[in-house]
Amino acid sequence: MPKFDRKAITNKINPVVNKIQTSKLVNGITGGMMSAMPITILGAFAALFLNLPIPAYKAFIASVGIATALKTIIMFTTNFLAVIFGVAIAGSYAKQHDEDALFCGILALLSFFIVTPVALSETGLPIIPVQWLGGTGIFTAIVVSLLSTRVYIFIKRQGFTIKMPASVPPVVSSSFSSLIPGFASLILFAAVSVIFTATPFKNMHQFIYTFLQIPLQGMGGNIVSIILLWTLAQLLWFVGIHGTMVIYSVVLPIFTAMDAMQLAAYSAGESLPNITGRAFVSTYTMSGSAIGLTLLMLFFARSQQYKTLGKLTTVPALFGISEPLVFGTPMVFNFRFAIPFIFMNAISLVIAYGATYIGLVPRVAGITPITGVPIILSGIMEGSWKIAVLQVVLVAVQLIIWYPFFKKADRASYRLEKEGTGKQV
Amino acid sequence: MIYITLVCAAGMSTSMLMAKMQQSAKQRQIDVSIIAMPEEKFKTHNGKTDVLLLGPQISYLEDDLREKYEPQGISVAVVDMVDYGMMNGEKVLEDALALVK
Repeated sequence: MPKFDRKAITNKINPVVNKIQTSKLVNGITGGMMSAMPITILGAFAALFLNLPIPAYKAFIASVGIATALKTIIMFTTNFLAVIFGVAIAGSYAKQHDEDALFCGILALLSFFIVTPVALSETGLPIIPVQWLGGTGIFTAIVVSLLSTRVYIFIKRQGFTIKMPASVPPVVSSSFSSLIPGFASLILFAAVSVIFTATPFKNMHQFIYTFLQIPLQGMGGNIVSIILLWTLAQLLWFVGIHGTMVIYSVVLPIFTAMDAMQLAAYSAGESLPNITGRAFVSTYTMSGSAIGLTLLMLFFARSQQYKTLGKLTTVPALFGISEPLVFGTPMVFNFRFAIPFIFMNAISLVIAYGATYIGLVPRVAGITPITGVPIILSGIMEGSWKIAVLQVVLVAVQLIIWYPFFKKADRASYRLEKEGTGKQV
Repeated sequence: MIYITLVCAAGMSTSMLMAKMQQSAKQRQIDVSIIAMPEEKFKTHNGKTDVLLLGPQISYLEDDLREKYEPQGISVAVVDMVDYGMMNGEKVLEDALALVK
Protein backbone atom coordinates (compact mmCIF):
# COMPACT_ATOMS: atom_id res chain seq x y z
CA MET A 1 0.00 0.00 0.00
CA PRO A 2 1.39 3.43 -0.87
CA LYS A 3 2.27 5.74 1.93
CA PHE A 4 -0.74 7.82 2.41
CA ASP A 5 -2.00 10.32 4.93
CA ARG A 6 -5.74 9.88 5.41
CA LYS A 7 -6.00 12.55 8.02
CA ALA A 8 -4.56 15.13 5.63
CA ILE A 9 -7.03 14.16 2.90
CA THR A 10 -9.97 14.19 5.25
CA ASN A 11 -8.91 17.56 6.63
CA LYS A 12 -8.84 18.95 3.10
CA ILE A 13 -12.20 17.59 2.01
CA ASN A 14 -14.22 18.05 5.18
CA PRO A 15 -14.32 21.85 5.19
CA VAL A 16 -15.54 21.91 1.57
CA VAL A 17 -18.26 19.37 2.22
CA ASN A 18 -19.13 21.11 5.45
CA LYS A 19 -19.48 24.41 3.61
CA ILE A 20 -21.91 22.93 1.07
CA GLN A 21 -23.88 21.03 3.67
CA THR A 22 -24.28 23.92 6.09
CA SER A 23 -25.01 26.59 3.48
CA LYS A 24 -28.35 28.22 4.23
CA LEU A 25 -29.20 28.29 0.53
CA VAL A 26 -28.50 24.59 0.00
CA ASN A 27 -30.28 23.60 3.19
CA GLY A 28 -33.21 25.82 2.27
CA ILE A 29 -33.65 24.17 -1.12
CA THR A 30 -32.94 20.53 -0.26
CA GLY A 31 -34.63 20.80 3.15
CA GLY A 32 -37.76 22.18 1.50
CA MET A 33 -37.76 19.55 -1.22
CA MET A 34 -37.22 16.76 1.30
CA SER A 35 -40.02 18.00 3.55
CA ALA A 36 -42.37 17.94 0.54
CA MET A 37 -41.33 14.38 -0.28
CA PRO A 38 -44.47 12.74 1.16
CA ILE A 39 -46.49 14.72 -1.40
CA THR A 40 -44.37 13.53 -4.32
CA ILE A 41 -44.66 9.96 -3.02
CA LEU A 42 -48.46 10.29 -2.80
CA GLY A 43 -48.52 11.43 -6.41
CA ALA A 44 -46.26 8.56 -7.40
CA PHE A 45 -48.49 5.98 -5.74
CA ALA A 46 -51.58 7.43 -7.36
CA ALA A 47 -49.83 7.04 -10.73
CA LEU A 48 -48.88 3.47 -9.90
CA PHE A 49 -52.44 2.51 -9.02
CA LEU A 50 -53.77 4.30 -12.06
CA ASN A 51 -51.42 2.46 -14.41
CA LEU A 52 -51.34 -1.12 -13.14
CA PRO A 53 -51.14 -3.04 -16.41
CA ILE A 54 -54.17 -5.25 -15.82
CA PRO A 55 -57.00 -4.56 -18.32
CA ALA A 56 -59.81 -5.82 -16.04
CA TYR A 57 -58.54 -3.67 -13.18
CA LYS A 58 -58.25 -0.64 -15.45
CA ALA A 59 -61.80 -1.06 -16.72
CA PHE A 60 -63.03 -1.45 -13.16
CA ILE A 61 -61.39 1.68 -11.73
CA ALA A 62 -62.55 3.67 -14.73
CA SER A 63 -66.17 2.52 -14.37
CA VAL A 64 -66.54 3.21 -10.64
CA GLY A 65 -64.76 6.56 -10.77
CA ILE A 66 -61.59 5.57 -8.89
CA ALA A 67 -59.56 6.51 -11.96
CA THR A 68 -61.01 10.02 -11.91
CA ALA A 69 -60.24 10.34 -8.20
CA LEU A 70 -56.65 9.20 -8.76
CA LYS A 71 -56.26 11.68 -11.61
CA THR A 72 -57.48 14.47 -9.34
CA ILE A 73 -54.90 13.46 -6.72
CA ILE A 74 -52.19 13.47 -9.40
CA MET A 75 -53.27 16.91 -10.55
CA PHE A 76 -52.70 18.35 -7.07
CA THR A 77 -49.55 16.39 -6.24
CA THR A 78 -47.34 15.53 -9.23
CA ASN A 79 -48.74 18.29 -11.44
CA PHE A 80 -48.72 20.79 -8.58
CA LEU A 81 -45.16 20.25 -7.39
CA ALA A 82 -43.88 23.71 -8.29
CA VAL A 83 -46.43 25.29 -5.95
CA ILE A 84 -45.71 22.80 -3.18
CA PHE A 85 -41.94 23.12 -3.49
CA GLY A 86 -42.21 26.91 -3.59
CA VAL A 87 -43.99 27.02 -0.24
CA ALA A 88 -41.81 24.31 1.33
CA ILE A 89 -38.51 25.83 0.19
CA ALA A 90 -39.47 29.33 1.34
CA GLY A 91 -40.45 27.91 4.72
CA SER A 92 -37.28 25.93 5.10
CA TYR A 93 -35.12 28.84 3.93
CA ALA A 94 -36.88 31.15 6.38
CA LYS A 95 -36.21 28.68 9.18
CA GLN A 96 -32.51 28.75 8.31
CA HIS A 97 -32.65 32.47 9.07
CA ASP A 98 -34.84 32.00 12.16
CA GLU A 99 -37.76 33.75 10.50
CA ASP A 100 -41.45 32.84 10.39
CA ALA A 101 -41.66 29.80 8.09
CA LEU A 102 -45.43 29.93 7.60
CA PHE A 103 -45.53 33.58 6.66
CA CYS A 104 -42.61 33.28 4.25
CA GLY A 105 -44.26 30.20 2.74
CA ILE A 106 -47.47 32.11 2.11
CA LEU A 107 -45.52 35.04 0.72
CA ALA A 108 -43.75 32.71 -1.71
CA LEU A 109 -47.07 31.16 -2.72
CA LEU A 110 -48.49 34.58 -3.56
CA SER A 111 -45.32 35.66 -5.35
CA PHE A 112 -45.39 32.46 -7.39
CA PHE A 113 -48.97 33.04 -8.54
CA ILE A 114 -48.21 36.69 -9.23
CA VAL A 115 -45.63 35.71 -11.85
CA THR A 116 -47.80 32.89 -13.22
CA PRO A 117 -49.79 33.94 -16.30
CA VAL A 118 -53.57 34.12 -16.01
CA ALA A 119 -55.70 33.25 -19.03
CA LEU A 120 -59.33 33.77 -19.89
CA SER A 121 -61.69 30.86 -20.38
CA GLU A 122 -64.02 30.74 -23.37
CA THR A 123 -66.76 32.24 -21.26
CA GLY A 124 -64.45 35.06 -20.16
CA LEU A 125 -63.64 33.76 -16.70
CA PRO A 126 -60.06 34.30 -15.52
CA ILE A 127 -58.28 30.94 -15.13
CA ILE A 128 -54.82 29.83 -14.07
CA PRO A 129 -53.47 27.27 -16.54
CA VAL A 130 -51.89 24.27 -14.80
CA GLN A 131 -49.03 24.31 -17.33
CA TRP A 132 -46.50 25.95 -14.97
CA LEU A 133 -47.65 24.46 -11.68
CA GLY A 134 -45.89 21.11 -12.08
CA GLY A 135 -42.43 20.00 -13.18
CA THR A 136 -41.90 22.82 -15.70
CA GLY A 137 -42.41 25.45 -13.00
CA ILE A 138 -40.08 24.00 -10.38
CA PHE A 139 -37.12 26.26 -11.11
CA THR A 140 -39.28 29.37 -11.13
CA ALA A 141 -40.69 28.20 -7.82
CA ILE A 142 -37.17 27.84 -6.39
CA VAL A 143 -36.08 31.27 -7.64
CA VAL A 144 -39.27 33.00 -6.50
CA SER A 145 -39.36 31.39 -3.06
CA LEU A 146 -35.70 32.15 -2.31
CA LEU A 147 -35.99 35.69 -3.61
CA SER A 148 -39.26 36.57 -1.89
CA THR A 149 -37.95 35.22 1.41
CA ARG A 150 -34.62 36.99 1.00
CA VAL A 151 -36.25 40.33 0.19
CA TYR A 152 -38.60 39.94 3.14
CA ILE A 153 -35.74 39.23 5.53
CA PHE A 154 -33.54 41.97 4.10
CA ILE A 155 -36.17 44.69 4.40
CA LYS A 156 -37.20 43.50 7.85
CA ARG A 157 -33.63 43.53 9.13
CA GLN A 158 -33.04 46.99 7.63
CA GLY A 159 -35.65 48.14 10.10
CA PHE A 160 -38.28 49.24 7.58
CA THR A 161 -41.13 48.02 9.71
CA ILE A 162 -44.14 49.59 11.33
CA LYS A 163 -43.30 49.81 15.00
CA MET A 164 -46.02 49.64 17.57
CA PRO A 165 -45.92 51.18 21.05
CA ALA A 166 -44.70 48.80 23.74
CA SER A 167 -48.23 48.46 25.14
CA VAL A 168 -49.46 46.66 21.98
CA PRO A 169 -49.51 42.86 22.41
CA PRO A 170 -46.58 41.11 20.70
CA VAL A 171 -48.86 39.08 18.41
CA VAL A 172 -50.34 42.24 16.96
CA SER A 173 -47.05 44.08 16.67
CA SER A 174 -45.34 41.14 14.96
CA SER A 175 -48.03 40.97 12.30
CA PHE A 176 -47.51 44.68 11.68
CA SER A 177 -43.75 44.30 11.52
CA SER A 178 -44.20 41.83 8.64
CA LEU A 179 -46.31 44.26 6.69
CA ILE A 180 -43.77 46.42 4.87
CA PRO A 181 -41.29 43.57 4.18
CA GLY A 182 -44.16 41.47 2.86
CA PHE A 183 -45.41 44.27 0.65
CA ALA A 184 -41.91 44.84 -0.70
CA SER A 185 -41.69 41.24 -1.77
CA LEU A 186 -45.09 41.18 -3.47
CA ILE A 187 -44.58 44.50 -5.20
CA LEU A 188 -41.25 43.30 -6.54
CA PHE A 189 -42.85 40.26 -8.16
CA ALA A 190 -45.81 42.23 -9.43
CA ALA A 191 -43.28 44.48 -11.18
CA VAL A 192 -41.34 41.50 -12.49
CA SER A 193 -44.54 40.00 -13.81
CA VAL A 194 -45.48 43.20 -15.65
CA ILE A 195 -41.99 43.60 -17.10
CA PHE A 196 -42.03 40.07 -18.49
CA THR A 197 -45.32 40.61 -20.31
CA ALA A 198 -43.47 43.22 -22.38
CA THR A 199 -40.80 40.70 -23.43
CA PRO A 200 -41.07 37.97 -26.07
CA PHE A 201 -41.27 35.43 -23.22
CA LYS A 202 -44.59 36.89 -22.00
CA ASN A 203 -43.96 35.59 -18.46
CA MET A 204 -41.22 34.78 -15.98
CA HIS A 205 -41.92 31.03 -16.14
CA GLN A 206 -41.12 30.82 -19.83
CA PHE A 207 -37.92 32.78 -19.32
CA ILE A 208 -36.63 30.69 -16.39
CA TYR A 209 -37.67 27.47 -18.06
CA THR A 210 -35.82 28.35 -21.27
CA PHE A 211 -32.71 29.92 -19.78
CA LEU A 212 -32.25 28.06 -16.50
CA GLN A 213 -34.19 24.83 -16.22
CA ILE A 214 -33.59 23.36 -19.69
CA PRO A 215 -29.85 24.19 -19.78
CA LEU A 216 -29.33 22.87 -16.23
CA GLN A 217 -31.23 19.68 -16.95
CA GLY A 218 -29.21 19.22 -20.10
CA MET A 219 -25.97 19.84 -18.21
CA GLY A 220 -26.68 17.78 -15.13
CA GLY A 221 -29.05 15.16 -16.46
CA ASN A 222 -27.05 13.80 -19.37
CA ILE A 223 -25.44 10.42 -18.92
CA VAL A 224 -21.84 11.70 -18.94
CA SER A 225 -22.50 14.13 -16.09
CA ILE A 226 -24.40 11.48 -14.19
CA ILE A 227 -21.53 9.03 -14.46
CA LEU A 228 -19.05 11.68 -13.32
CA LEU A 229 -21.28 12.76 -10.43
CA TRP A 230 -21.96 9.26 -9.13
CA THR A 231 -18.32 8.27 -9.45
CA LEU A 232 -17.50 11.37 -7.43
CA ALA A 233 -20.10 10.24 -4.88
CA GLN A 234 -18.28 6.91 -4.54
CA LEU A 235 -14.95 8.73 -4.18
CA LEU A 236 -16.45 10.69 -1.30
CA TRP A 237 -17.76 7.47 0.26
CA PHE A 238 -14.22 6.14 -0.14
CA VAL A 239 -12.95 8.85 2.17
CA GLY A 240 -15.84 8.18 4.56
CA ILE A 241 -18.31 10.89 3.56
CA HIS A 242 -21.96 10.32 2.61
CA GLY A 243 -21.24 11.03 -1.06
CA THR A 244 -24.77 10.52 -2.35
CA MET A 245 -26.13 13.12 0.05
CA VAL A 246 -23.43 15.64 -0.84
CA ILE A 247 -24.08 15.25 -4.58
CA TYR A 248 -27.82 15.60 -4.09
CA SER A 249 -27.44 18.74 -2.03
CA VAL A 250 -26.25 20.34 -5.27
CA VAL A 251 -28.21 18.56 -8.02
CA LEU A 252 -31.47 17.61 -6.30
CA PRO A 253 -33.51 20.39 -8.00
CA ILE A 254 -32.41 19.24 -11.46
CA PHE A 255 -33.12 15.58 -10.86
CA THR A 256 -36.38 16.20 -9.03
CA ALA A 257 -37.66 18.38 -11.86
CA MET A 258 -36.76 15.68 -14.39
CA ASP A 259 -38.56 13.01 -12.36
CA ALA A 260 -41.58 15.25 -11.92
CA MET A 261 -41.96 15.67 -15.68
CA GLN A 262 -41.35 11.98 -16.19
CA LEU A 263 -44.01 11.05 -13.66
CA ALA A 264 -46.50 13.55 -15.08
CA ALA A 265 -46.10 11.97 -18.52
CA TYR A 266 -46.35 8.49 -17.03
CA SER A 267 -49.53 9.42 -15.15
CA ALA A 268 -51.06 10.82 -18.31
CA GLY A 269 -50.06 7.76 -20.33
CA GLU A 270 -47.84 9.83 -22.62
CA SER A 271 -44.37 8.89 -23.86
CA LEU A 272 -41.71 9.50 -21.21
CA PRO A 273 -39.40 12.49 -21.84
CA ASN A 274 -36.20 11.32 -20.08
CA ILE A 275 -34.00 8.25 -19.81
CA THR A 276 -32.17 9.52 -16.74
CA GLY A 277 -33.23 11.28 -13.56
CA ARG A 278 -33.17 10.58 -9.85
CA ALA A 279 -35.32 7.46 -10.17
CA PHE A 280 -33.00 6.11 -12.89
CA VAL A 281 -29.84 6.56 -10.83
CA SER A 282 -31.41 5.24 -7.68
CA THR A 283 -32.92 2.17 -9.37
CA TYR A 284 -29.71 1.06 -11.03
CA THR A 285 -27.03 1.96 -8.46
CA MET A 286 -28.60 0.59 -5.29
CA SER A 287 -26.19 0.40 -2.34
CA GLY A 288 -23.31 1.79 -4.34
CA SER A 289 -23.53 -1.12 -6.81
CA ALA A 290 -21.99 -3.37 -4.17
CA ILE A 291 -24.83 -5.84 -3.58
CA GLY A 292 -22.81 -8.34 -5.60
CA LEU A 293 -19.98 -8.10 -3.10
CA THR A 294 -22.24 -8.74 -0.12
CA LEU A 295 -23.52 -11.90 -1.85
CA LEU A 296 -19.97 -13.06 -2.58
CA MET A 297 -19.09 -12.61 1.07
CA LEU A 298 -22.24 -14.38 2.19
CA PHE A 299 -21.90 -17.45 -0.04
CA PHE A 300 -18.25 -17.79 -1.03
CA ALA A 301 -16.16 -16.49 1.86
CA ARG A 302 -13.70 -18.91 3.45
CA SER A 303 -12.40 -16.49 6.05
CA GLN A 304 -14.39 -15.86 9.19
CA GLN A 305 -14.02 -12.11 8.69
CA TYR A 306 -15.81 -11.99 5.34
CA LYS A 307 -18.38 -14.62 6.33
CA THR A 308 -19.43 -12.42 9.23
CA LEU A 309 -19.48 -9.36 7.02
CA GLY A 310 -21.64 -11.17 4.49
CA LYS A 311 -24.22 -12.01 7.12
CA LEU A 312 -24.18 -8.48 8.40
CA THR A 313 -24.28 -6.48 5.18
CA THR A 314 -26.39 -8.44 2.68
CA VAL A 315 -29.89 -7.73 3.96
CA PRO A 316 -29.37 -3.99 4.54
CA ALA A 317 -27.72 -3.72 1.10
CA LEU A 318 -30.73 -5.37 -0.57
CA PHE A 319 -32.84 -2.64 1.00
CA GLY A 320 -30.51 0.06 -0.24
CA ILE A 321 -28.69 0.68 3.03
CA SER A 322 -24.96 0.54 2.41
CA GLU A 323 -23.48 1.92 5.63
CA PRO A 324 -22.75 -1.48 7.24
CA LEU A 325 -20.85 -2.47 4.10
CA VAL A 326 -19.02 0.82 3.73
CA PHE A 327 -17.95 1.14 7.35
CA GLY A 328 -17.90 -2.48 8.44
CA THR A 329 -15.69 -3.94 5.70
CA PRO A 330 -14.52 -1.11 5.73
CA MET A 331 -14.51 0.38 2.26
CA VAL A 332 -13.21 3.67 3.60
CA PHE A 333 -9.56 4.11 2.57
CA ASN A 334 -9.48 0.42 1.65
CA PHE A 335 -7.32 0.14 -1.45
CA ARG A 336 -8.04 -3.54 -1.86
CA PHE A 337 -11.58 -2.74 -2.97
CA ALA A 338 -11.05 0.81 -4.19
CA ILE A 339 -11.32 0.09 -7.92
CA PRO A 340 -14.67 -1.73 -7.98
CA PHE A 341 -16.03 0.41 -5.15
CA ILE A 342 -15.36 3.65 -6.99
CA PHE A 343 -16.11 2.56 -10.57
CA MET A 344 -18.89 -0.02 -10.31
CA ASN A 345 -21.56 2.70 -10.28
CA ALA A 346 -20.29 4.01 -13.59
CA ILE A 347 -20.44 0.51 -15.13
CA SER A 348 -23.98 -0.02 -13.85
CA LEU A 349 -25.09 3.35 -15.21
CA VAL A 350 -23.58 2.73 -18.64
CA ILE A 351 -25.25 -0.67 -18.93
CA ALA A 352 -28.60 0.63 -17.70
CA TYR A 353 -28.45 3.63 -20.01
CA GLY A 354 -27.53 1.46 -22.99
CA ALA A 355 -30.27 -1.07 -22.27
CA THR A 356 -32.84 1.71 -21.95
CA TYR A 357 -31.57 3.56 -24.99
CA ILE A 358 -31.90 0.59 -27.33
CA GLY A 359 -35.26 -0.26 -25.81
CA LEU A 360 -34.42 -3.53 -24.04
CA VAL A 361 -36.04 -2.08 -20.93
CA PRO A 362 -38.59 0.74 -20.75
CA ARG A 363 -37.68 4.11 -19.29
CA VAL A 364 -38.17 4.41 -15.51
CA ALA A 365 -41.49 6.01 -14.62
CA GLY A 366 -39.91 8.62 -12.35
CA ILE A 367 -41.44 7.20 -9.17
CA THR A 368 -39.72 8.95 -6.26
CA PRO A 369 -37.09 6.62 -4.81
CA ILE A 370 -37.87 5.66 -1.22
CA THR A 371 -34.99 4.45 0.94
CA GLY A 372 -35.81 1.04 2.34
CA VAL A 373 -37.68 -0.32 -0.67
CA PRO A 374 -35.80 -3.50 -1.62
CA ILE A 375 -34.19 -4.21 -4.97
CA ILE A 376 -36.56 -5.87 -7.52
CA LEU A 377 -39.60 -4.26 -5.85
CA SER A 378 -38.04 -0.85 -6.46
CA GLY A 379 -37.56 -1.90 -10.08
CA ILE A 380 -41.13 -3.12 -10.53
CA MET A 381 -42.40 0.12 -9.02
CA GLU A 382 -40.65 2.03 -11.80
CA GLY A 383 -43.21 0.63 -14.19
CA SER A 384 -42.06 -2.75 -15.46
CA TRP A 385 -40.78 -6.16 -14.43
CA LYS A 386 -38.11 -5.71 -17.10
CA ILE A 387 -36.54 -2.96 -14.99
CA ALA A 388 -36.38 -5.38 -12.05
CA VAL A 389 -34.75 -7.98 -14.29
CA LEU A 390 -32.12 -5.45 -15.32
CA GLN A 391 -31.46 -4.76 -11.63
CA VAL A 392 -30.79 -8.47 -11.13
CA VAL A 393 -28.58 -8.61 -14.23
CA LEU A 394 -26.56 -5.71 -12.82
CA VAL A 395 -26.06 -7.62 -9.57
CA ALA A 396 -24.77 -10.54 -11.66
CA VAL A 397 -22.33 -8.19 -13.39
CA GLN A 398 -21.24 -6.99 -9.95
CA LEU A 399 -20.58 -10.60 -8.91
CA ILE A 400 -18.17 -10.99 -11.82
CA ILE A 401 -16.40 -7.68 -11.42
CA TRP A 402 -16.08 -7.86 -7.62
CA TYR A 403 -15.01 -11.50 -7.65
CA PRO A 404 -11.21 -11.20 -8.22
CA PHE A 405 -10.93 -8.41 -5.66
CA PHE A 406 -13.02 -10.32 -3.16
CA LYS A 407 -11.13 -13.56 -3.71
CA LYS A 408 -7.77 -11.95 -3.10
CA ALA A 409 -8.90 -10.22 0.10
CA ASP A 410 -10.68 -13.32 1.37
CA ARG A 411 -7.65 -15.52 0.76
CA ALA A 412 -5.40 -13.09 2.63
CA SER A 413 -7.76 -12.99 5.59
CA TYR A 414 -8.16 -16.76 5.60
CA ARG A 415 -4.40 -17.22 5.70
CA LEU A 416 -4.07 -14.70 8.51
CA GLU A 417 -6.81 -16.39 10.51
CA LYS A 418 -5.21 -19.81 10.08
CA GLU A 419 -1.81 -18.57 11.12
CA GLY A 420 -3.42 -16.78 14.07
CA THR A 421 -5.15 -19.90 15.41
CA GLY A 422 -2.05 -21.99 14.62
CA LYS A 423 0.02 -19.85 16.93
CA GLN A 424 -2.52 -19.96 19.71
CA VAL A 425 -2.93 -23.75 19.78
CA MET B 1 -31.85 7.87 32.92
CA ILE B 2 -29.29 8.75 30.26
CA TYR B 3 -30.44 10.04 26.89
CA ILE B 4 -28.48 9.14 23.76
CA THR B 5 -29.36 10.51 20.33
CA LEU B 6 -27.90 9.07 17.14
CA VAL B 7 -27.87 11.18 14.00
CA CYS B 8 -26.90 10.45 10.40
CA ALA B 9 -27.95 11.50 6.92
CA ALA B 10 -31.34 9.84 6.59
CA GLY B 11 -31.65 8.13 9.97
CA MET B 12 -31.78 4.70 8.34
CA SER B 13 -28.54 3.04 9.33
CA THR B 14 -28.46 4.76 12.72
CA SER B 15 -31.85 3.26 13.49
CA MET B 16 -30.31 -0.18 12.96
CA LEU B 17 -27.53 0.68 15.38
CA MET B 18 -30.11 2.11 17.78
CA ALA B 19 -31.90 -1.24 17.90
CA LYS B 20 -28.63 -3.04 18.65
CA MET B 21 -27.75 -0.57 21.41
CA GLN B 22 -31.18 -0.85 22.99
CA GLN B 23 -30.82 -4.62 22.99
CA SER B 24 -27.46 -4.40 24.70
CA ALA B 25 -28.76 -1.90 27.26
CA LYS B 26 -31.68 -4.18 28.08
CA GLN B 27 -29.42 -7.18 28.60
CA ARG B 28 -27.13 -5.25 30.86
CA GLN B 29 -30.05 -3.49 32.55
CA ILE B 30 -28.74 -0.01 31.93
CA ASP B 31 -31.24 2.79 32.22
CA VAL B 32 -30.86 4.61 28.90
CA SER B 33 -33.15 6.06 26.27
CA ILE B 34 -31.72 5.80 22.74
CA ILE B 35 -33.25 7.44 19.68
CA ALA B 36 -32.11 7.94 16.08
CA MET B 37 -32.99 10.64 13.56
CA PRO B 38 -31.65 12.51 10.53
CA GLU B 39 -29.22 15.28 11.45
CA GLU B 40 -31.61 17.81 9.89
CA LYS B 41 -34.35 16.83 12.36
CA PHE B 42 -32.15 17.18 15.41
CA LYS B 43 -32.04 20.97 15.00
CA THR B 44 -35.69 21.18 15.94
CA HIS B 45 -35.73 18.21 18.30
CA ASN B 46 -36.98 19.20 21.73
CA GLY B 47 -36.34 16.06 23.79
CA LYS B 48 -33.51 15.71 26.24
CA THR B 49 -30.08 14.59 25.00
CA ASP B 50 -27.00 13.83 27.07
CA VAL B 51 -24.87 12.27 24.37
CA LEU B 52 -25.13 13.11 20.67
CA LEU B 53 -23.52 10.50 18.43
CA LEU B 54 -22.83 11.14 14.73
CA GLY B 55 -22.68 8.46 12.07
CA PRO B 56 -19.19 8.45 10.51
CA GLN B 57 -20.64 9.46 7.14
CA ILE B 58 -21.41 12.93 8.50
CA SER B 59 -18.25 13.31 10.57
CA TYR B 60 -17.56 16.54 8.68
CA LEU B 61 -20.26 18.14 10.85
CA GLU B 62 -18.52 17.19 14.09
CA ASP B 63 -16.86 20.54 14.77
CA ASP B 64 -20.01 22.53 14.06
CA LEU B 65 -22.20 20.36 16.23
CA ARG B 66 -19.62 20.28 19.01
CA GLU B 67 -19.44 24.05 19.02
CA LYS B 68 -23.21 24.32 19.05
CA TYR B 69 -24.20 21.70 21.59
CA GLU B 70 -21.31 21.25 24.02
CA PRO B 71 -22.08 24.59 25.71
CA GLN B 72 -25.55 23.14 26.36
CA GLY B 73 -23.95 20.28 28.24
CA ILE B 74 -24.38 17.70 25.47
CA SER B 75 -21.40 15.44 24.75
CA VAL B 76 -20.79 15.16 21.01
CA ALA B 77 -18.83 12.35 19.36
CA VAL B 78 -18.52 10.46 16.08
CA VAL B 79 -19.17 6.72 16.29
CA ASP B 80 -16.10 4.64 15.53
CA MET B 81 -16.28 3.67 11.86
CA VAL B 82 -15.86 -0.07 12.18
CA ASP B 83 -18.09 -0.31 15.26
CA TYR B 84 -20.69 1.52 13.23
CA GLY B 85 -20.35 -0.73 10.21
CA MET B 86 -20.36 -3.90 12.28
CA MET B 87 -23.36 -2.56 14.20
CA ASN B 88 -21.52 -3.25 17.44
CA GLY B 89 -24.22 -1.90 19.74
CA GLU B 90 -22.51 -2.99 22.92
CA LYS B 91 -19.25 -1.22 22.18
CA VAL B 92 -20.94 1.97 20.95
CA LEU B 93 -23.13 2.01 24.05
CA GLU B 94 -20.09 1.61 26.28
CA ASP B 95 -18.25 4.42 24.51
CA ALA B 96 -21.32 6.62 24.78
CA LEU B 97 -21.74 6.00 28.49
CA ALA B 98 -18.07 6.81 29.02
CA LEU B 99 -18.79 10.27 27.57
CA VAL B 100 -21.42 11.12 30.16
CA LYS B 101 -20.01 13.57 32.63
